[in-house]
Amino acid sequence: MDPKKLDYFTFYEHPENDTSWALSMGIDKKVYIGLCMEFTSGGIAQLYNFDTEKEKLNHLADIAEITGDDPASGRATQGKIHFSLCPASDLKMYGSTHATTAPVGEPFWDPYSMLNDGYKYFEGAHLYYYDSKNYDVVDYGVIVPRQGVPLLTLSEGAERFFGVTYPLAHLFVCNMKGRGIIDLGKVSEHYPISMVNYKDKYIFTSDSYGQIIKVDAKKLKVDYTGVFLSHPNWSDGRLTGWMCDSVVGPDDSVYCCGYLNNRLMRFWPEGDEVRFEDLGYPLEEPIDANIIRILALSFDTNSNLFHILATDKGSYMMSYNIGQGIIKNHGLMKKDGLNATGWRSAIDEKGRVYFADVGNIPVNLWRYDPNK
Amino acid sequence: MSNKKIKRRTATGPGIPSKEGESPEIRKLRLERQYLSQPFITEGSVFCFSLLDQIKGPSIMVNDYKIADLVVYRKNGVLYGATSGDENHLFFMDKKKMIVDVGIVEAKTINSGSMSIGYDSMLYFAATDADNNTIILKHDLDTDYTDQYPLNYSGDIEETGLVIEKDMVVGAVSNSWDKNIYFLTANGKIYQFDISKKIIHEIFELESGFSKSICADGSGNLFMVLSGGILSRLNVNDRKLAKSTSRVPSQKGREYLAGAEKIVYENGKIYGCTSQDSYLFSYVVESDKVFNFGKPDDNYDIRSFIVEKDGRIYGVTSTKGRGLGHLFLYGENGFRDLGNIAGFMPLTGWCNEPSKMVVGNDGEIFISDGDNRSKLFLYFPKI
Repeated sequence: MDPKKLDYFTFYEHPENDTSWALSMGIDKKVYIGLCMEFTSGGIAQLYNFDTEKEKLNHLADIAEITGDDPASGRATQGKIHFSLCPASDLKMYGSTHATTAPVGEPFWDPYSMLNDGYKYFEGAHLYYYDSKNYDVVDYGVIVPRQGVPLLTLSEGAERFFGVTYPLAHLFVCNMKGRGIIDLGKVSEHYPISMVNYKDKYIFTSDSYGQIIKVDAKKLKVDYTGVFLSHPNWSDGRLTGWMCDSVVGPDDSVYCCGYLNNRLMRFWPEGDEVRFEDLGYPLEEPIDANIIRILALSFDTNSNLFHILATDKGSYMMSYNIGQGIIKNHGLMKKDGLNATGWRSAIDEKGRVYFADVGNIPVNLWRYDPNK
Repeated sequence: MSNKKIKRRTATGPGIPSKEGESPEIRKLRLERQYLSQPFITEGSVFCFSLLDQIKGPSIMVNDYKIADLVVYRKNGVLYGATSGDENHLFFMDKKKMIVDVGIVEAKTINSGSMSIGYDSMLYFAATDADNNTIILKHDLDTDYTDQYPLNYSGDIEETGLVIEKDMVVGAVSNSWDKNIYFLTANGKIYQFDISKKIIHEIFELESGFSKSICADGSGNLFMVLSGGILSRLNVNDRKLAKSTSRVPSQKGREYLAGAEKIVYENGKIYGCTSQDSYLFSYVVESDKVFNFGKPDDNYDIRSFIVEKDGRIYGVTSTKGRGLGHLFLYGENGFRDLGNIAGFMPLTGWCNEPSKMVVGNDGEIFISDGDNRSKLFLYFPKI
């Protein structure tokens, strides 16, 4: 890849923060990023946005400050924002906090054993929002005690959030203020990591075997569809067919990928059924690398599904045109000795693809411009 | 691209080592408290099983995992269980620890399931459907089965034709004295199921506020816990109820909530646990006295327990909505917290909501998870 097509913006203000999972395009045309500190005990997550016009990173919130959860308390800290940034039409960006950061002084955080520990437990996941109209951050308090919320999706039509807890993997809903919580039960052995709002009618997610779970957004009926995403032959689907990212395409299908899988897939509701299609991975030209997984799905305005292909050689920027059914390789993403990769992506009005680092410290926000 | 110099945000950096104004002594005490917390890893060996691995179709799907009840057939030590999900299966675990699906219970939706083994080597299973009618089903436990390949099992679930209308069975016990099975229902009725005559009839009705647990002493007495934690004894012969002056333990001021999650009869004593305040206790029938053993840990409920042949008691605790219960031992030295119920073979899994617990013939303990998509755990205590 021509290095000119790739830019990166380093989170210099928080150089010890080590990963970034959540990335979402706001209605205000800014890219919102959750910056995590997972590998340092007592670490704190930070909320940023990126002004695509001024090309500037703005620090919005220190999660320990807004939640009031003291990192010196000896409990697991508010160190993570996982796949939980939800843009709302009123220019707010909602999010939930997650836990994988060890309590101060501990070498690691064990989600299962520390859940009920009298001193090292995680206080719980908070729901908060950043209001870009008046630059305010509001915390609604703990919505799930002692557990993190790694996955959150907003259905504005149903006026509720759909979330998943970790480590117990329960699906729950709550209203726009984090109240009226309804526990819909344990839906997966390991927690779902991808959830998509389908026209405010259904919420789709998958369990860790890749079984598609359809939730009626208004009636809250949980339907285990019996439809499974593809998985490699050597596996029974456990943690390989597990839906890793999903996005609703211009053809009203949900495009998705698996956790350890080299295939693009799509599914769509048809009456009470869910139809599934494995698209394979139809490359324009063969690639000289072993594919590990597909990440960071985003559609541009020309029906191109941009995504990152993680391989043993590094990460490639790819795009799949749903009209032609062909995958184009935009090249291996390396710049200044840094490998670029990310788990979630967003595309701005100029067709530029944004994603944030999981692998480089300090973390960078990356931008791939196909038009350069 | 930004060329800003790296700077530290000291106010929001990683954990501050000491609190403002905290003296070194207080800080030392605080840090010591952090390390005086519960054990993380289960003491003993835990094996975790999925119900997916079937040798006989139809397979138990992942959403049909909620285990309703467990019993062990003492003749051969085989564990039997029932699930209550979208489909309701009866299954057993053979000596090689293979899960075998006996079949689907033909009821619309099962809200609960209580099992008991009769003297005729039949497993009787009370299943309540969506219309709140309870049907009594049976399964022949002496059905031929070999755990040698090719694996084959031809057992079936049969209907007895007996129905308890508009009521749900919440407890079942086999009484060796008259060889009948007794069912306790949600409306407080006690039904006698005469196995030899294949008839079922109501013999008593309890006053409201009773606990959903029942046990028998093998001499014609059934034991229940009434409202306020009053232990009571029903003689099935003359059908007279005798109330004890002793009560199930509870915290001060919460006597009106006192109830027992489970009671079992062992050698002249009733052992029990409470679903609120998490007390373990025994009741000596002859002296009419209750002995409170105390609380195993900071969880609110003791969900279940078993009494080993050597008198040691193993139990599971949890708190509603908190998940990941703990295992405990009550022995000569009092309570011992044995940690989370964490299994790593053949599957990795944690017991989120421990529910049922039975002891096998060799002292091994089976624990079910009462959460959706639960798993079955096999625990070998540390020797």
